[in-house]
Amino acid sequence: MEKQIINPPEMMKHPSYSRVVTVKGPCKFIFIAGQTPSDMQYQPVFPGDYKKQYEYVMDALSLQLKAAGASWSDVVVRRVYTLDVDALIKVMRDPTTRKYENAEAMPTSTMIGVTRLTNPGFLIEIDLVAVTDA
Amino acid sequence: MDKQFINPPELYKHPSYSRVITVKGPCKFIFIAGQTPSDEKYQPVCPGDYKGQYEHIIKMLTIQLTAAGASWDDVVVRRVFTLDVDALQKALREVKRPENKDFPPTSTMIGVTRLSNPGFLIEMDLIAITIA
Repeated sequence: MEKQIINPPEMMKHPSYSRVVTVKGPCKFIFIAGQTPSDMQYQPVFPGDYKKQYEYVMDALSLQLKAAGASWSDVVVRRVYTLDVDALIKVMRDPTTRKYENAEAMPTSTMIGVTRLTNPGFLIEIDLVAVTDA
Repeated sequence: MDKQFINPPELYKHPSYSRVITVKGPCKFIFIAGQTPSDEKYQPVCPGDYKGQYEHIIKMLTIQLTAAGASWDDVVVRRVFTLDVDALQKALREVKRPENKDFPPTSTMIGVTRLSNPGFLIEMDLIAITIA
């Protein structure tokens, strides 16, 4: 598999995502369902706490990437849905929040403010696409 | 690479997107991050102007497709997020669209409450596929 990360010089280099990621050659695609901050009973964890829900969601995604033989360096698409974009951006920029992505190989990203996730206590949902060698 | 556009006759043929696109064979996947109407300092351009913001986004996405060796004809997935679906659809009827009229990408359009800056009215992400 051949992977390329492109940040065209005509555009601002964003610190938290890559503009374009391309892959070609024999590869394995890994699709990960929208991860919510939910426990074993599918109930919200850490009610009202963006930082803790974010880390919980990212930890659960790390587990799933690993189960598929991948890591955060392999993620090519990250989609983030949240009830409060400002609250989440603040948490993601907070230096005390755990870091997950590889700064040298950031995925592409889309962040969307929404009115509701599947449980009113869920503040964040993130889904991923990762690609590794076949 | 073998690419097929399928619009099943049982469904309304939408003028601005394809119902189904399939690709098989050696190909290159191109993922493009959600493009917002943002300038070099990540601030909103054309405040309040759906048409101006749309045109800026298209210009930026075209730069990125080109950088990856692709064109709008290679886009297979288009996702459009906007604060006001009606306002965007009105603007879309007044602009020149970059997609191939005969073979447009698949598409999903969603009304949302917020994008990463309150001045961003539209965000669009793409997946394109070319021959490897």
